[in-house]
Amino acid sequence: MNLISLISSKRVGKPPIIILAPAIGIGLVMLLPLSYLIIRGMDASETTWELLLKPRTLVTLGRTALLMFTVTLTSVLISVPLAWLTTRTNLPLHRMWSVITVLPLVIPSFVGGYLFVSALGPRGLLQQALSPLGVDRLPEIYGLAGATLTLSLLSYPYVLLTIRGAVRNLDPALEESSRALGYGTFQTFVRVSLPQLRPAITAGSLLVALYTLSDFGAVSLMRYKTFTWVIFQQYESSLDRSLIALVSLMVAIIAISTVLIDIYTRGKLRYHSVGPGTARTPTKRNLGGWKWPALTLMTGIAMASIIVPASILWYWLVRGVSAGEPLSIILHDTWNSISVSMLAAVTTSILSIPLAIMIVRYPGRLASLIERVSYIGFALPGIVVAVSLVFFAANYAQPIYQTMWLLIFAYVILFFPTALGATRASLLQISPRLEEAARSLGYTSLKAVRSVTIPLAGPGVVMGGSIVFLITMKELPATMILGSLGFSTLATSVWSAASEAFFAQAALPALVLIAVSSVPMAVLVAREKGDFS
Amino acid sequence: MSKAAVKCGELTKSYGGKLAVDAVSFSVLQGEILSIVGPSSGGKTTTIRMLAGFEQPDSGEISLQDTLVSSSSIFIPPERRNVGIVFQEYALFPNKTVAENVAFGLHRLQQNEQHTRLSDVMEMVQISDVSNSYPHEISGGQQQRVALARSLAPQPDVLLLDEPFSNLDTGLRVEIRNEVRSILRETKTTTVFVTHDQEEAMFMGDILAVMSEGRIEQIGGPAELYHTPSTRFVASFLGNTDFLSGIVVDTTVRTELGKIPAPKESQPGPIDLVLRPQDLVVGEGPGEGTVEASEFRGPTYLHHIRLVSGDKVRVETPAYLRCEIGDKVKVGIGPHYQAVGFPSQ
Amino acid sequence: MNGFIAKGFGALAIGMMFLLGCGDSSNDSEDPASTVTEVSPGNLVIYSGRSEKLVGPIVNQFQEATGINVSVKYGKTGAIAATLLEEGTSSPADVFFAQDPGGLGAVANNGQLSPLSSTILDKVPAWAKSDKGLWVGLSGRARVVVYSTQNGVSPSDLPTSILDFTDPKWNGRIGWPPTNGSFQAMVTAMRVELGEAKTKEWLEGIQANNPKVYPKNTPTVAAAAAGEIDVGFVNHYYLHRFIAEEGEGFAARNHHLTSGGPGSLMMVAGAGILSTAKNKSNAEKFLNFMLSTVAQQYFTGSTYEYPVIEGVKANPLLTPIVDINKPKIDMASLEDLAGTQNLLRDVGILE
Repeated sequence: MNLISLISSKRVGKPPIIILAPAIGIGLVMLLPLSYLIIRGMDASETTWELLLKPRTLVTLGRTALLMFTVTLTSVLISVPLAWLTTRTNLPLHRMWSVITVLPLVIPSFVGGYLFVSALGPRGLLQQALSPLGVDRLPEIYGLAGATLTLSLLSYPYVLLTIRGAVRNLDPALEESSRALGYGTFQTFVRVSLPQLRPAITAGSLLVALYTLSDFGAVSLMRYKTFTWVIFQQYESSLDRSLIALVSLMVAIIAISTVLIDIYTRGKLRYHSVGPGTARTPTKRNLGGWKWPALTLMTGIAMASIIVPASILWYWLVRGVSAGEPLSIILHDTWNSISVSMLAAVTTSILSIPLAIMIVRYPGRLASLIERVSYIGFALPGIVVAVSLVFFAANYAQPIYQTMWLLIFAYVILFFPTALGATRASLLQISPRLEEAARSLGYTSLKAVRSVTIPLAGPGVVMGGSIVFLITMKELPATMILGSLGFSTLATSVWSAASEAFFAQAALPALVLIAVSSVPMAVLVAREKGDFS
Repeated sequence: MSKAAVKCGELTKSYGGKLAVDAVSFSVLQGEILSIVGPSSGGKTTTIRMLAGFEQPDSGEISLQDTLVSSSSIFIPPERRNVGIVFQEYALFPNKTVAENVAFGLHRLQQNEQHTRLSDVMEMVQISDVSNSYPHEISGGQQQRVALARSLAPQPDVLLLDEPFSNLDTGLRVEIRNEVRSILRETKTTTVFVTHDQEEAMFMGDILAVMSEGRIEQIGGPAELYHTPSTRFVASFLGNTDFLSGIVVDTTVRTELGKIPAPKESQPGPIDLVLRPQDLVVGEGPGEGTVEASEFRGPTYLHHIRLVSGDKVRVETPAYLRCEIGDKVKVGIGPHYQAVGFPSQ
Repeated sequence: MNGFIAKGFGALAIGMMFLLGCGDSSNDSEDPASTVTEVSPGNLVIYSGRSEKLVGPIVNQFQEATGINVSVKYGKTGAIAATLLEEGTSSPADVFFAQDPGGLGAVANNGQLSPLSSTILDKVPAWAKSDKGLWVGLSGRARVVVYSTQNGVSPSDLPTSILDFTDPKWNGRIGWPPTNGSFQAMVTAMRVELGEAKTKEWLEGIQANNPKVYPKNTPTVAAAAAGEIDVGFVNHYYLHRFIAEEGEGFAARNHHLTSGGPGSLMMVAGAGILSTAKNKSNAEKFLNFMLSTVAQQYFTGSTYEYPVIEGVKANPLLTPIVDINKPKIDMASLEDLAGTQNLLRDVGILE
C-alpha cells in the first residue's frame, strides 16, 4: 500500500503539506521506541523465548487485561456522576468541586500507591482511626482490588476531563422528549444521554486503560503482577534487555488493540453542531432533597482521592519538622519542574494540532494509522521509552543527548495522546463551514486555520497542554534517565527521599508538586464557559 | 446586462462511485438571481460548493466573470474567486462580535475604507444596533442578516446562498427573504440560490433550475417552468400537481372532466394532464367525485376529491364553499386552463 | 474568551523564550569555568544508582575538597545500568556508583568497566570487591529479619537461621520483596553456599507459608511496623531510617541471624570506573575518597551502613560487624542474578 493510496480517501481532499509533513513526522517519532524494542527483541535467545511462551504469560496477559477493564470501568462509574453533578445541577460550590475532582491526576502513582497502603492497609491509618470502634484489622486491599482502587482514584480525572464538556453540552431537548415519552430519569440517562456521551467516555477510557497498562508504581505496591510488573522486575535485577523488549512489545500490542477498540467504537459519528448559532443553554437541574447524598458522594471521592493523600503528606511533614528534621530548600527543583513541564506542555499541544487537523478534516487510513501509533508511547512504561531514547540519542544524536531538548522530546512521546485528544475534541466542535466561510472571504486555507480554527480550538488546546503540564510535573523515569547531569525536579526529589524512607523530606516536594500542578487546572476549570449560574 | 457572470459547463462530481452532480450546465447573467430547487441530496449543494471552490469537479468547467476558475487543468482556490457564500447554518464566528464577523472579509481594504464599507453594509441589512453583540446573543433572523452582510461586505462577483432561510420561522422567513431579495436587486448582485422550497425558489429567482438526482431537469423563467414544465418531475415538483388521465383525439383531450383543447404538438393517444388546484372548479362540470378531505386555509379550502375513475385531484375553492367528507360533488376544469400533459406511462 | 487565549499563548511563548534564554546562559557560564584556569581540577561524571538523599552530601564534600566539578545523574540502579548498557561506548559517565553488585555486574559483563588500580583495590577486603578487580564495595549492608513489635514478636521467638522460616508455624506471617536486588543476592548466596536443590527446597518451603509480597524493602519494613506481617527479609538500614524519622516508637526491630549462612549475608553498595571514562584520574580520586575515613564515617553515621575499610567504627546503633556471623562469600559471585531468577520463576515466585 503506497502513501498516496493511504492518503486519498473518497470524500475529502488531500491535506496540505504543512499539515501532512508534521503529522507524518509525529508518526515516525512515535515509532522510535517500537523500533528499539524490535532491535533488542531480535537479540532474544531461545531461553528468553521459552520463558515468554509459557502459559504463565497468558495468565499475566489475563491479569493485565482484567486490571485495565476494572480500572476503566471504575473510573467511568466515578466520572459520569461527578461530571453530571458539577455541570448540570445546582450542586452547592460546583466550581470548587470541579477543581477538586480533577486534582488526583497530579499525584504521582508511586506516592499515591504508598499513601493508599499506609491509609488503607490492614493496620493503616484508617484502621487506627477506627480502632476505638473495635476495628482491629481491616481486610487486605492488596491484589486486584487494591490496584483497581488506587489506579482508579488516581486516573479517573482522564475520563472526567474528557466528558465534562460533553455532559455540559447534552441537548436538554433530547432528555426532555425522552421524559415526555414516559422514561424515568434513570432510563432517560441510560437510553438517551449515555449514548451521546459515548465518544467522550471512550476517549477518556482509552487514556485510563493505557495509563493502567503503563503504570508500575501502583501495581507493584498493590502486588498485582501485570506485564509492567514483569518489566520492572527485570530492571530491578537481572536486566535481560531482550526479555524486557519482548514483554514491552506485548504491552505495545495490547495498547494498539485497545486503541483499535476505541476507534471502532467511535464510529462515524458527527460531532460538530449543525444548527445555527449556539445550542440552547442547558438547564440546571434542581437537586432538591438529593443535595445531601450528592454532597456526600463528592466529599467521599474528594477525601479518598486527594484530601486524605494530601493530609498524610502534611502529617509526615509536620511530624518530621517537629522531630527537628532539616528540610532542604527546593526552589530550584520547583523551577526545574515548572519549566520542563511548561515546555513539554507547549511543545506537545502545538505538535498535536497538525495531526488533530488531519484526523478531523482529512480522515483516512493514513490519519488513523498515525493516530493509533501515537498512543504507543503513552502505553509503554516510561522507563522503556526513556531507555529507547538513550539508545538512539547517545549513539546517533549525541549533541542533544542529556540536554533538556531530548527530555522534552521524551515527554512529547510519552504524553502526546492526552494533548491530541483534547485538541481533536475541540476541533470536532468546530464546523468546517467556518473555515469555508473564511476562505470565501479571501483567506487561504492556512490563514483560515490560523484566524478561525485555532482561536476557537484554543481552549481545548490549552486544556490538553495543561494535562500534559501536570502529568509531566509528576513524571519520574524519563526525567531521571534523560535529564541532563545534575538535573533534579520535584518528582525526582520526592522519589529520592521516599525510596530511602525519608518521608518528611519526601512530603515537602510532594506537597509543592501537588500545589503547583493544581494551579493551571484550577484556573482552567474555574474559567470554563457554561458555568452560568 | 447580458454578460454571463457565472458559466458552468458539463460539471460532474461523484463521491465513492455515486454520481452527485451529473453534467450540469447553466449560466447566470450579471445581476441575475438563479434559484436551484429540488429534493434534498439532488446535487444542489454540491453544485454551489463547486462554484465556491470547496469541491473540485471531476470534470467540466466553471467560469466566473469570464475567468476560468475550474477545469481539468485549472483550479482557483476559494479565496481567489471573489465569491460570497451564506450557509444554511450561517457559520458565524462564535468568538467574534457581529461587527468583527462582517469586517472579516474586508482585510484587503484600507482602514478607513473598511470602516465605511462596514457601516454601509451593517446599515443596509439593519444590524447596526447589534454590532457589538456576539452571535449567540442575537436572534436567528439577525444571525441570518449578519451572515448575509458578511458575505456581501467584500462586494463579491457572485453570491451563493445555500438554503439560507431554512432555519427561520415561517413568518420571519417571508419577511427576511423579501428583504434579501430587494437587497440583492438593489446591489445588483449576481446570485445562485439553493433551496428545497419550490415557492421560495420561484419567488427569489429570475431564472429557476429544477435539479433531481444530479441533473438539471429544466431551466428557465419561473413562470415558464410552472406553466410549461418539460418533464413529469418538474411538473409534479412545482405546485400541488395532480395528473388526470385522458386521451388525445385530434386537437382535443377527452377526460372524465370533459373535453378540452389538446396541448400543442401532443401525440394522439393516452395522456396525463398536469392540473393544479387552481385549474379546477367544484359544484359544476361534467365530472363527479367524492370529497375525501378538506383543508381549511383561511381564505380558501383545498378539497381532496376522488373521481369516479379512481384518479385523485385537489381543488382550491373560496372559503365559503364548504364540503363535508363523503359529499358527492361535481368537478370540472376551469375556463382558463392551458393544457399541459405527458404521454401516459 | 479570545483575549484569554491570546494571553495564554502569549504567556507560554514568553515563558518558552525565557527558558531558552536560561538554557543558553547556563551553558555559557560553564565553559569559561573550565577554560579560565589552566590547572583546573577538571570534571567528573558520576552515574549514581544510589539516591541523592543518601550520597549527595558526601559527593558534595568530595567536590569541595578537590575542586573537581562533579556532575551526578541519580536514578535507580537498574535504570542507570540499563542506561549505561544502551549508551555503550558513547557514555559520558566516568563512575558508576551502584546500590548492589548486580547492577555493577551487568555493566561489567558488557565490558564497560575498566580494571581498578591496586591502591584502590587493596583498601577493600576480598569479600567486598569484584574478583576481576572491576569494582569495589564502598559500604556494607547486612541482611536481617525485621520483626514486628507491633504484633508482639520478640527476638526469642525468632530462629537463628533463615532456613528455619520454612516451619509451618510461620504460615501467613512472613513478608518479602522477591523482585528486590538485595533479596535476590541473598538467594544467589544461598545457591552458592548450599546448592540449587537446597535453595529450591527453601524457596518452596517459604512459598508454602504464603509470604506477603512487597515491591521493595521500605514497604516490607513499614508492613512489619504496621503489624501486617510478623517478620520480613530485608536489609538492615531501612529500620534505622524509619526510627530516625518516626522515633523510637516505630514498632519493628532488626534481628541478625546468628548461626550464619546466607541469611546473615553482608553485601555492598559499590562503584566502578567506566572503560570509556574521560576523567579517569578524577574517577580514581573519587573512589579513593569514598574509601577514606571521612567518607566511610559518613556512610555509617548518616546512612546506617557498615564501613568496608579497617579502622572505621560502625554506627553504635548498628549491631557491631564482628557480631554478624557473615558467610564467606565473595560479592563477585553474587553478580550473576540470572540463575537465581530462573529458580524463582520455577518455584513460581517471579513471573
